[in-house]
Amino acid sequence: MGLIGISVFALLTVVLGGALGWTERRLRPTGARLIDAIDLLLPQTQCERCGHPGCRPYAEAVAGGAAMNRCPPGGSTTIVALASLLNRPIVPLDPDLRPMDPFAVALIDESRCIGCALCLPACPVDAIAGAAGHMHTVIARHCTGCELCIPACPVDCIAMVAGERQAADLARRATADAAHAADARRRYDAHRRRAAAQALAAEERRQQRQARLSARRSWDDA
Amino acid sequence: MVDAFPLLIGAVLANNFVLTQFLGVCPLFGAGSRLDNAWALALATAFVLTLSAAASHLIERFVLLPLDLEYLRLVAFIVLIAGLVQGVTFAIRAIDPVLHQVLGIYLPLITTNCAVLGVALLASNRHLSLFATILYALGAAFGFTLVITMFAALRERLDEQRVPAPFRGAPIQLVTAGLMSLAFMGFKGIGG
Repeated sequence: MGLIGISVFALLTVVLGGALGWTERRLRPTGARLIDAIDLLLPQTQCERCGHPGCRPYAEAVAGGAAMNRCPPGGSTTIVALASLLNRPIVPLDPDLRPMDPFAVALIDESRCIGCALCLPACPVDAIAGAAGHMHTVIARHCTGCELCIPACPVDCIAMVAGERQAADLARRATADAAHAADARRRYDAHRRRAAAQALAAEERRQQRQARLSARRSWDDA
Repeated sequence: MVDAFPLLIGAVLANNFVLTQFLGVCPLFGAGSRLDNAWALALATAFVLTLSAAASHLIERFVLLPLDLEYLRLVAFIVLIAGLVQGVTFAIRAIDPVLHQVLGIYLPLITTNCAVLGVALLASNRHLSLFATILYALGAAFGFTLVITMFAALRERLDEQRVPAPFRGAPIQLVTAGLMSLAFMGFKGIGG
């Protein structure tokens, strides 16, 4: 009587476990879905600490088998989440990478800014407002704290300061971070689209100039 | 054998699981004050609820009853529900990773949703047929979805209101749920 109960129950759990394992393997995200899923777990600082030009390219590399412990702003949270998504063992953060405070934002010392506009293309999320010859400023709400603008500045007038997000209390921080990451992802995509469009336009102009030059040369030759 | 229509309507309104039987109240407050999140969670729960009621019925009729193992009913149902929830979690992760991340902790919590186990057990107690069980579960699922989304919509509005300080947060939500419950009690007498 008891034996039947135990064996039936054991059979039930084994069958269920087997079915679940099969479902897990069948439904594990692959391809573009997997890249999306990895990208969602990354902090979207676009800081390039991992050696890739942004979070999305890093997600593509991880989906292709690259190491998943190369995200300093994400830290252990990101590694644990990625390990469970990818079924890989948990490994510590790569110690060779430069650490980063994800709650700091860049601040331009406006009295020293010369308006050179060199920091504008360096910002991966277009969080710096300004134009050539005019003073620039960082829109703190959009800044991800990636520090990529700091080496771009020829007069070293950009410094990292504790951001306003630091003040958010712990309960609100999680949702605030999710919203901030979504905003950073959107702005990074826009930045990349615009950079690609500008590169394309520059290439077209170069070809037209080339065509004009060769036309003039053949005119001169004739 | 209970008539199909009163059974369905009764499970949606008169015997609404959340507001008149007080099963599955935790997701009512846990689903957050965003209508779209609540909608997704309610749909996932409704799906699990219907599926688990049907699966529990089959397990009971074809495995537990013939082998005289009715005392295993409770624990077998719980294991079944846990497995189904995990399967649904995998499915959501595959279909919509964003939704999977948004729902996060609330997905595994469907396992401990008392309404899911409650429907399976109540259907079994009432000795419903498979068809009636599915109908009953569909009614319960619809009622659950209705209440969760209505409550989330109310909470969205509550967030905009100037609530007196002592009532802010959980107290005003409990009062709101109580008033909704009163309204649903008014359906008593409709359906079976």
